[in-house]
Formats: sequence, structure tokens, C-alpha cells
Amino acid sequence: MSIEMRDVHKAFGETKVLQGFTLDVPDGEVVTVIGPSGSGKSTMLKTIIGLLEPDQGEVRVDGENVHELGLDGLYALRRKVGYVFQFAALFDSMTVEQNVAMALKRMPGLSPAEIHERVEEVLAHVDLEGVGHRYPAELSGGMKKRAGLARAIALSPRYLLYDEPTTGLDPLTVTMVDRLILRMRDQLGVTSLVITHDIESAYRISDHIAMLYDGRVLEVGTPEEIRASQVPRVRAFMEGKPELLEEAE
Amino acid sequence: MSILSPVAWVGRTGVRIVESVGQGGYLAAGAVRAMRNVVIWGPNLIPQMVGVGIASIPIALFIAAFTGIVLALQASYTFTGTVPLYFVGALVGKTIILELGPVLTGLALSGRVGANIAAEIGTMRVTEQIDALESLAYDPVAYLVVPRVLAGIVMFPVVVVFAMTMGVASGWLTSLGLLEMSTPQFVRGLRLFFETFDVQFALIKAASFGLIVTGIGCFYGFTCTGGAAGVGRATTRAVVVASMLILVLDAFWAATLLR
Repeated sequence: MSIEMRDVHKAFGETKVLQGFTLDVPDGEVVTVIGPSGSGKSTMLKTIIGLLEPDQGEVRVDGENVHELGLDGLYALRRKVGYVFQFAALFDSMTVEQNVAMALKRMPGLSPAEIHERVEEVLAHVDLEGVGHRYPAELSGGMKKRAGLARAIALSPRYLLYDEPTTGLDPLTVTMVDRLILRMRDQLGVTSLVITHDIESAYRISDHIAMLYDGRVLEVGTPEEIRASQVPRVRAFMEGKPELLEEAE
Repeated sequence: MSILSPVAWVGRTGVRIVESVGQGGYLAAGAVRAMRNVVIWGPNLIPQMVGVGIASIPIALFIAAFTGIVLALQASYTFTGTVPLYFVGALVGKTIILELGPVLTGLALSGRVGANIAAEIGTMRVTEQIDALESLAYDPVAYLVVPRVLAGIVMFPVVVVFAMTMGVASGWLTSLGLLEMSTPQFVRGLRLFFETFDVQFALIKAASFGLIVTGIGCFYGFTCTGGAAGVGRATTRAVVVASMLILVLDAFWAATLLR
């Protein structure tokens, strides 16, 4: 069981964002997608849980074509996929506890006491003990990201999609988020697809790294393979050296 | 500027209107479908009824109070020397119940309620909170739209009843205090042309205004794009379009129910 994306195309008006994106995320792996800003990474992520529908191509999760699922099938899929949004996307009229509990309330048979207990548990997972009563506006950027992460993992999902989980965080919190991603994989067998601009983080956590450019995957490989890549655009991006591109041209 | 620019503008506007109607129809169909999802919208209904209805009563009473005063004074000014003064009660009652109570309340609430809904949902849209709802397996239409629209349909008539009562009461007090009329005189005029149907007519109008104001607010919030500026645009459009539709609906109900 895995996430498979085949020849996915998506355009917004005249702007073509994805142009034949193909990627496999094998079961139990952490796959990281890197690429320039505006290259379609978030768009790609949203097609996986049906927030956006591709114009062409198919996205399969657990072998099921996401965009052929009915509404009930889509909701069933979303219960096993956690999504960590780039800017946390916390419900600002709710406390952190209420935010995390939102996912749990959709699960039948959970009592309020069990929901509260689970919320405390996941908040502890992300080092946010004691902040459940606070509103998002009262949290720092890093705390918001971790609260968003807590909400995404509340249902113990089989898949986790991270949209830039470490952008704007301090180094300690980055390491904590990286370890959490690895712990989810190692202890719970969670399959993760991570979008990031943090190259060091990508090397640390990934089983595979894919470089997205111009709406399609330019290269995919293990961290070692990507580190040794001879593709100028990949090297330029990974090493942060635009001159490598100029030399190649 | 090209000579074809005005033509292009008309074309673009036409396409935008058709698009909006299509999106609105899609959202409305989604809302009807989402009605079966009571578990999602049920818990939000009472808070929305309080926000849309109870919290709107003060502004509705304020507007109705001054409308009643002005109506009584204008009626007296018009009638003096030509029509018996007890007709002041008839004019105040008939005008407040048939027209000004529902319409002025609707227009005021298109600002208070419609703008609030468009801004709140629009902010949720541009900050990905609606995407987050969907990612947590919530139908955002059931969660956000259905309780607001139901609250509008149920609570606008309640607010209008308060407004009509206040409007008539302030007209009566004005008649007593400023026009040297007696209560029996005012009541005589009030009862002269009163029909129970008038109240039913007002409540039907109010419910339809509630549907329009909340529905339009939800529509512009849901289709909002472009950050803070987009939220501002969505809010303004929600108020303008809802106000215009209130006046169109007002004429529609008069043409269909008062003939």
C-alpha cells in the first residue's frame, strides 16, 4: 500500500502548475519533495487528499483512485491521511485543544473523556503540554506548527503529508519535528510525504528525495544519490549555488 | 485605451456573472445535500442563531424606534387639515409591518450579518482553514453554510417581529407625546386597515431576506481569493449584492402576494 501519482497535470487558468508529475511513495517510507517556490509542491500534496482535482493523470492511495471516490469514500480516505499545513491552518476561533479534538470528534464511539485524553497525549508528543486552553493567536509560529502537527496525528493516520513543516522554526524545533517524522515512521509505520526547502532536514529524514521542477519530477533517489547528482539544476538547488546552473548553460 | 475595451469589459463581466451564478448554484446544491449531515451542522445551529438573531436585535430596535417616530411625524404633517389624525396609527402600522420593518431590518442585517459571515468564511478560505476542515473529513458546507443559512431563515423573522413591535410602539409614543393624540385614537387607526395576513407577509419576506443575506455572505466567503484584500472585496460584494437582492425580493413578494 502506498501513494502513487501518475502523469498528474494541473493548471490554474493559463498557469500550468503540474505537467506530468509522477511519483511513488512506498509504504513505510519518508519521501521528501524539494523544488523552487511556486513549482507546484503544495498543489501536488492537495491532489492526494482530493482538495484539488487533477486535470489529467491519476492519484492512488492504497490502490484507490482518489478522484473516482465518492464523498463518503473521500472522507474515509481523509481519516487515514494526516495533513500538516504550511501555515498550520488552525481554526482561529477555537483553542488548541478544540483544534486537535476536531478530528477525533468525527470518530464514532469516542467519549469526551477519551477525546480529552487523546488530545493531551498528542500535545505531549509535540511538546505542547499545558497549552491546550490557548487560542492560536496566543501561540508563537513554532507552537502553531506543532499544534497543526498534533491535529494531523491525532487520528494515528497511516499517511502524513507535510507542507513545509519546518519553515520558519528555530533549529531545536526543526530537529524535534524531524525526529517526530522519523518516530512516526519507525514506531507506527507511517508513510510520509514531506515538502521542504530545508535541505539538511531533507537529507536527515528522507528515504527518498524527489526534485520537482517545471511541474514534473526532475530526479528522484536516495539522499546519497541526490547528494551525488550530476544534474546541474539539482546540484544548484541542493548546494544553493545558482552559478552551477550558469556554468551548465 | 482600445476602442474595444468597453466591449471586452462587458464580455468579462458577463462571463463573471454566469460563473458566479454557476458557483452559487453549486454551493446551494451542496447545502441542500449537506442538510442530511445533521451531526456536523447541528451543534453549530444554536450559536449561529444567537449570533445572527439575538445579537442583531439591538440594532434592529434602534432603527425601528426612529423609523416609527419619523413615520408618525410625517403622517401627521401630511394629514393635518385633510385627513383625521387617527389615520396616523393606520399609516404607522401598515408601513412598519408591510414594508419598513422587514426591509430596513434586512438592509441593516445585510451589513451586520452578511459582512460578518463573508469576512469570517473568507478569512478561513484564504488561511486554508476550510482546506483543513476538509482534510479532517468535515464537509465544510455542512459545517459552515448550513447552520448559518438555517439561522438566517429562522431568526430574521424573529428580529423583524421585535422591530415591528418597536416601530409601532415608538409611533404610538410619538403620537401621544408630540401629536396630542390619545391611545384610543392611535389604536383605532392601527386597527382600521390591519390584516393578519400583513404579519404573515412580513415574516415570509423576513425569512427570504435571511436566506439571501446569509447565503450571499457564505457564497462570497467561500469563493474568496487573494488574502486580506480579497476578504475585503468579498465582504463589500456580500453587502452590496445582498442589499440589492433584498430590494428585488421586496418587489417580487409585493407583486406576487399583494395583488
